[in-house]
Amino acid sequence: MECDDIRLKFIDYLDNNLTAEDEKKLIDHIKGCEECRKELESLKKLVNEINENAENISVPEDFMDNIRQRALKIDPPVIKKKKAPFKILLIAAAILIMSMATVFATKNPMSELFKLMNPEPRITNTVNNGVGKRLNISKTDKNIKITITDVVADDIQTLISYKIEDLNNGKEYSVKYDGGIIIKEKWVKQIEDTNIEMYTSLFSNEGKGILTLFPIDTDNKTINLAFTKLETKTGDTTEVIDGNWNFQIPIKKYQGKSYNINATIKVDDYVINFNKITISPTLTKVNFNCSNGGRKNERINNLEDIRIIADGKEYKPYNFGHENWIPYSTVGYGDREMTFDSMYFDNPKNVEIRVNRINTQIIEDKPKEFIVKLDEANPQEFEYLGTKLVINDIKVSDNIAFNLNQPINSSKFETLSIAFWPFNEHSPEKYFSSAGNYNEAYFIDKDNNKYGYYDALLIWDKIRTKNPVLYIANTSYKLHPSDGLDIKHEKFIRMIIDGYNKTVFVNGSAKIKLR
Amino acid sequence: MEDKMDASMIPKSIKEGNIQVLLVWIDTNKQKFYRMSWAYLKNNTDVEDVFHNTIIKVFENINKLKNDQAFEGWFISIMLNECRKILRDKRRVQPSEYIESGNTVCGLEDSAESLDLMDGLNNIHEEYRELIILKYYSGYSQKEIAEILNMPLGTVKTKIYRGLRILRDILGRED
Repeated sequence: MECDDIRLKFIDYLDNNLTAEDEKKLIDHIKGCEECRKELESLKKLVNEINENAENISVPEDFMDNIRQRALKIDPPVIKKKKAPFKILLIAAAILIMSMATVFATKNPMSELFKLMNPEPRITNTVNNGVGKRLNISKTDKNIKITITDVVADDIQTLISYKIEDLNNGKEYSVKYDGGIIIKEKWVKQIEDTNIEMYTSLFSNEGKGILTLFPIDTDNKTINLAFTKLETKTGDTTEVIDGNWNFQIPIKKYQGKSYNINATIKVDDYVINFNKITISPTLTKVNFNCSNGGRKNERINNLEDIRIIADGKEYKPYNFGHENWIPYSTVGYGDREMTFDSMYFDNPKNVEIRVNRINTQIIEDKPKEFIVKLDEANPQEFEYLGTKLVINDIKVSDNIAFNLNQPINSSKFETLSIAFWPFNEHSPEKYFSSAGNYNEAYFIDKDNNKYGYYDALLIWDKIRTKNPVLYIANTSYKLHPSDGLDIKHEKFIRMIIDGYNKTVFVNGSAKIKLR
Repeated sequence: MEDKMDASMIPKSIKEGNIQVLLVWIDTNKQKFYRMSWAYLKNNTDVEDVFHNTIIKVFENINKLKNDQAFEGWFISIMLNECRKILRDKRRVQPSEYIESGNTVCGLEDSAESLDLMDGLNNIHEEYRELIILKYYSGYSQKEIAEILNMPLGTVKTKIYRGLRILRDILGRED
C-alpha cells in the first residue's frame, strides 16, 4: 500500500518536483525498501535514456523556413462578423459584412451603393427567364403584411424575396437578422460560433428584402420559414416588433453547368490557377487558387475586380469584386472562389478571365514597435516606411481612445496591420480588445486623383482603369483593457505594426473553352 | 511562461487574417513540437507535414475554440491527432515488418539502443504513449499535461508511471 503511494511520486522526485517533506518521506522509505529502491533505479535509468534520446532530436536549420513558406500559401480563414458598425463598411474588404447584417439604406451615397448591391434584379431576371417561381404568398400580423414574392434555387444559393408593408402607417420595416428568422428544415451543418443558420445573408432596402440560404440538398423541398422579429428605425432609435409571419415555401433546385478548366495566369512570381467554372441561373462561380511563387513574407490576399468576358459581354464580380463575398459558407484556404453575374441564359462557349488587381499582404520579419505616450496632449508622430503616422486626441477613461492619422498616402503601403499592446506586459490576463473605425478613406488613382470611398465604388467602372487604391487617412481607435489590466497608472502603450497590404497591378488573361 | 503569454493572442490575430503571430509562436516552441512529432513519426518530411496540416486545421477550426487561453492545449491536441493520422496512414501502406525493423524508416543517427527505445514507444498503447511523449519529448510538466489533455493530475501521474513501466517491460530492461 505504502509502496504504491511512494512509487507514484517517483516521477515528481526525478523531476525535482517534490516538497521537502514528501522528498524526505520518499528517501526514508526507499532506505528501508529494497524493491522500491530498485524500481526507482530502473525508472531513473529509463527516464535518462528517454531524455537523452529526446535531446538528440534537433530541429533542422531550414525547418521553420519551410513551414513558414508553406504556411504563407495557406490563407487564413474568412471570419464573418456578426454585427458591425456602419463605419467599418468603409473598408473595401468589409463589404462582406453587409451580407451578414440587416442593412438600412438611409443616406446618400450609401443608399445608391446599396441599390447597386441589391440582389433583387438577379432574382427577378431569373424568374422572368422561367427559372424559379413567382409566389406572392402573404401573411398579416400586427397589421404588418409580409409577402413572399419570388424564389429561386440553384446549386450556388437559394434566394427568397419578400416585401413588408405596414398597413397602418406606412412605416418601413426590415426583418431582424439576429433571431428574427426561423427555418424549420436544416440541410447544412451550422457553422459553429456564428449565428449563420440556414440563412447566410439578408438584404433589406425600402421594405423589400432578399434572404439568401444555402443551396438545398434535394431537387425539391418545401421549407417552413417564419419571420418573428421585425425592426424599424426612427432617427437613431430602433424599434423591434415581435410577431409571427410563417410560410410554407415550395422550392425547386436548378442545376448549373460545371466545367473543369485548367487555366493559369502567371504574373511576376504569382501564379493563379483557375480550375472550375460553374454557371448557374443566379450566379457564375469561379474556383481558383493562388501561390506566391515562394516569396518570403508575402502572399496574395485577394484578387480584386476580376472580369469575365464572353461574346463581347463583360461579367462583373458580385459586389465590387471582393472575392470574399460569396453567397454562402466560408472559403477554403488553398482553394478560393469568386462569384460573378450569371451567364446561364447566355450560354457562352468561350470565356476569357482578366486579372488586373492583386491585393497582396506583406508581413514584417519582425513587427515594428512604437511607444505611444498616454499623457501627451500634443500629436505624436511616428514614421513607418517613410510615411508619417500621427496619433492625437488621446483620451484615457475606462478605455483608451485616440485617432490615428496618416496625412499622406504612402507609395510603399496601402492599409496597415496594426495592433496595440499594453506597455509592460502583453499576456492572456493583460491585453486590449480594440476596435478601429475608419473615418476617412479614399481611393487614390495613378494620376493622384482622390475619391471618397463610396463615390469611388459608385463610379468604379469609370475609374478602375486608373488603378485606384484604398488609402485610410483617419482611424479612431478605442482600446478596452482586459479584466486583469488596470490602465489608470499606465503611461504608455505599444503600437505594433506587423505588416501591410499593397495592390499589385497586372495584366493577366486566360482564354478558356468551355466543354 | 513566455510562450503561454503569446499563445492566447493567437486566435484573435488569426481571425484578423494575421498568421505571423502564430508562426512566431511556433518558431519559439518549435523544439518541443518537433520532438513530439518526431517521437511519433521519426522522419523530417512527415514532421513537416504534421506542422503544416496542424496550421491548416488551426485556421479551419479557429472559430470553434471557445477559450483563447486554451490555445496551446488545443494546438497540441490537433498536432497529436495529425501525428496519429499520418502514422495510421503509413501503417496502412507499409508492410508491418518494415515498420518493426525500424532501421530503414528512422533517420536518427543514434545507436541501436535508441531505435529500440523508439520502437518500444511505438508499441505501447496510445493512452500511455502520448503522455510519455508530452512529458519527456516535449518537456511539459505533469500539471501542464493535465491541462493540455484536460485530464485530472492524478490520472496523468498514474498513467505516466504505468506507461514507463510498460515501456520498460517491452524493452526488456527490467533490472
